[in-house]
Amino acid sequence: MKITAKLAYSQLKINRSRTLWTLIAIALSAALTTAVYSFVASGNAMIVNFLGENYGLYGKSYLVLLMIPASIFGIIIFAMSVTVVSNVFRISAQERVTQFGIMKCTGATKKQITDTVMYESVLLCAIGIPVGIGLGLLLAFGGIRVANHSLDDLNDLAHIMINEINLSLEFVFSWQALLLSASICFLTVLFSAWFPAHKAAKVPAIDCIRGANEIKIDRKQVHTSPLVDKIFGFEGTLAAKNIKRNHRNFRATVISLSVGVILFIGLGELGNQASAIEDVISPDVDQTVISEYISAYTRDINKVTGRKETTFLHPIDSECGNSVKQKLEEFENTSIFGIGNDLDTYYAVLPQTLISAQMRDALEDEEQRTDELEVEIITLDQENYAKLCQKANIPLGSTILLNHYRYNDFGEEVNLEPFSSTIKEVNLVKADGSTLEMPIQGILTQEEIPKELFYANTNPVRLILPRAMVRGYSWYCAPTNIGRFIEYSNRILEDSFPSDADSSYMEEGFNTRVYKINDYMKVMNIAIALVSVFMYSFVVLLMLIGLTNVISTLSTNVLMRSREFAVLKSVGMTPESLRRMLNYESILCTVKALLYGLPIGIAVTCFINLPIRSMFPIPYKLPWLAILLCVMVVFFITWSTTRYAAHKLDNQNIIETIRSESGR
Amino acid sequence: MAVLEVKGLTKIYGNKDTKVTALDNVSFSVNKGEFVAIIGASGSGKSTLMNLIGGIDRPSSGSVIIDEKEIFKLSESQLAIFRRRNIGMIYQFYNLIPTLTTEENIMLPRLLDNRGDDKDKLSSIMGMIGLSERAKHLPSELSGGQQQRVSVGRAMINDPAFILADEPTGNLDSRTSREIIDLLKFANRSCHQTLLLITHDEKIALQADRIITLGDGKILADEVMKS
Ligand SMILES: Nc1ncnc2c1ncn2[C@@H]1O[C@H](COP(=O)(O)OP(=O)(O)O)[C@@H](O)[C@H]1O
Ligand SMILES: [Mg+2]
Repeated sequence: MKITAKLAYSQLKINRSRTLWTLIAIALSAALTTAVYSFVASGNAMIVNFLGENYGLYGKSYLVLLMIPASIFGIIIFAMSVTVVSNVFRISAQERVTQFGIMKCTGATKKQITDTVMYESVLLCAIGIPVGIGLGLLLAFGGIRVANHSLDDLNDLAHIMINEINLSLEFVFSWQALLLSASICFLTVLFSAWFPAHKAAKVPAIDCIRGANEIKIDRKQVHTSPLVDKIFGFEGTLAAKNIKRNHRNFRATVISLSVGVILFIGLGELGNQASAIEDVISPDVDQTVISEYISAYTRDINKVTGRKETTFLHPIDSECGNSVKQKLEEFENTSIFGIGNDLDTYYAVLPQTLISAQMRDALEDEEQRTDELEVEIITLDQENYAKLCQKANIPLGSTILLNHYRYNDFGEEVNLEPFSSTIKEVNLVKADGSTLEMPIQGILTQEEIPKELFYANTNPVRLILPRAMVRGYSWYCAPTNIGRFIEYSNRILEDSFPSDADSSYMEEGFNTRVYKINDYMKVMNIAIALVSVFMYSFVVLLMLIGLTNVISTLSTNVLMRSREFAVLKSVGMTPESLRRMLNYESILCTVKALLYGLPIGIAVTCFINLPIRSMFPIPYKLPWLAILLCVMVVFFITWSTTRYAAHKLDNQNIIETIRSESGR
Repeated sequence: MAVLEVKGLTKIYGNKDTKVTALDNVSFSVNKGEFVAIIGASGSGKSTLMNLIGGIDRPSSGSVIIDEKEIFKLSESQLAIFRRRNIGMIYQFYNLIPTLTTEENIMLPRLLDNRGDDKDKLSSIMGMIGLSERAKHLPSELSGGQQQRVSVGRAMINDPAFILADEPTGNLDSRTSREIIDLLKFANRSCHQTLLLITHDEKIALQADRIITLGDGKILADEVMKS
């Protein structure tokens, strides 16, 4: 074996615990990289499977869609690995400065010095990367099984809502992915070792010899504020001095810990926001099942007016909606709430004086015109329409205006009455320019409107007509036996709207379906759960990489100072006092990590909330729980590692330590 | 014949305000087989001189010629290779690589040259320094005197033009010191090894063929002893 390789090997052997932790770090980053690329390979296979032949046509864009998250994860892994691994090599090289000096005096060239450090990295890779790749494949395999579990549920739900889809991830063993992750990891480690190696080689021999193991200490570096002394006593001052002196060694630790804090707080916030969105969009009704008919449409520009004109291929009228309702009600005395609507055909022109000031502000906020308001035409089944007329104290056959508008004022939900109660008629205009004077006989306010009529994406002007031709119709109900009702309802819809099983939605011109209201929520839940599982696993593994660094830095730091500790002990520092000093060190380290991590983490949560706030009424909340948890976890990590190292130190004999260090 | 020629060697540390002239225009030459002791008070420039001759530091002006080669005209890696083949260096502390065995430490200059195969040379050196039984030991398992003997062995492994020793006994008790000096003297006498020994101990210096006395970076005296 070459002498440089041999020196590298013995360096690895001598500091076994550090070698072990570094190996773990390298293996973990290889594992993560492999897992990410395996997922890309499997995802790619799934898309090919799902989209079939067409994939070739759009393939590039889907692949890009896969590669973007993969590269982001890749960059994060790379950054973390470089921070951690280069720190190990820097400390390892720094410890051997005098050794390099001796080698230079015996005639080692710069390249040979560099080589000893680089060989170290090559040896570590030779073990770490294969282990990591094996681990990564296992991870991908397990992950894909977990994903398939959820995908099965997802497929079941999707069957009801959309047509046939069958998503399933298959574990794909891809040589390219393996090769790619192995070489990326190898390059990462080489890259991390290269700078410390070159720096070590550049130190002149004379400095190595003269410096004789003493890190040059500058007065400023060990200056601590008297405040520390007042609060923490002499031990606190010693702890602060040590952290200041070794701030470069601690830097990687602080970075790892703060990145962990940032990721956890950010991830926690993502989860919170997802469930908040779920709350907002889940309908607030006592109904459980929706049967639905919806017509396809085409959209053109009207030649005369130049406006967008929507044509429904198979619109449905109130009579039809009502007769289906009656048929559905034959099922075990189920009562049905039938509602049809059309959001596209009319717009309204109203005198501005009839529009409330609040509404004008709201429309301005949403960048909608106030002189032309979009209209929603609603029709209800006869029974429920009659009930509403009674409530509003108006005769059957009246047109009712729903005087309520809900909008999201940057995170705050606002409910308002858009129109003056003196409104007597609206002027409805179609895309072709034809107009219709619509008298209004009744007005309902927020409290009087049935729950079924509160859904997302309504128009400013909402009119309930006694009868109308609309795009779609929904029948809400809460049957006692949901499963049987779904079967029954499917049959009724099939009879009422016969369709050819082979033709698509556009060919047919309409679509029907029956689903449970919380199915959408379930799909979203599964998707959120799936994504969170993956994100959390990723972050946890990433944090483990960081943790290896925290452990090796903190324990090396304690061991490197064993002589200093021995001196402190020999002048009568009690073990309790020594322990207190180490505790203060972990506190200071924690505080530093939190000082960087918390503000950035909180900023990240604000950033996550920002786009969400503009879409949903979800205000920003400080994630107190996540913050508290982070503080505790970070402190626990630093405290337990320092304690572990100190425990190892306790077994050391004072005289032994002093002699072994000076006699080197 | 001169193996070493030092011409007008000057070394100035620091900048304008903190200027220290550690070596001031020092010139001398050493012949093959000579045993030269360099003495002087602490801070007189002995280590500075030794580091310059060994080529691990660069002078402010002047030149060092070893075997008719001006070492400061070599590039850094050329100088490193030249050093491992032509100069043996011994220091007071930190001489050995803690992770290598006695044998490997001795062979280090050759291993760096990828020539680790000369078993005869190794065993004769091991015999000379009297550590044949300790070949596989690590430095931490040797006493201070034994460690220093290993450095002497390493300095001699490549039959260098000369050995430079900077207070090799400074850290040892008087009996062990004598052993090391005897070892160096033996190398000088029997192998005609040229030897430059830096010391502040007059008694040790008196055993040399020639004594150069430094003071404030200048040569105060250069006297040949009769043996
Ligand atoms: N790196 C340095 N920077 C500044 N001054 C130095 C440096 N090295 C040595 N000196 C000064 O040069 C002088 C000679 O030092 P040195 O050669 O080590 O003396 P000796 O070995 O004889 O005790 C001393 O005054 C010392 O302070
Ligand atoms: Mg000296």
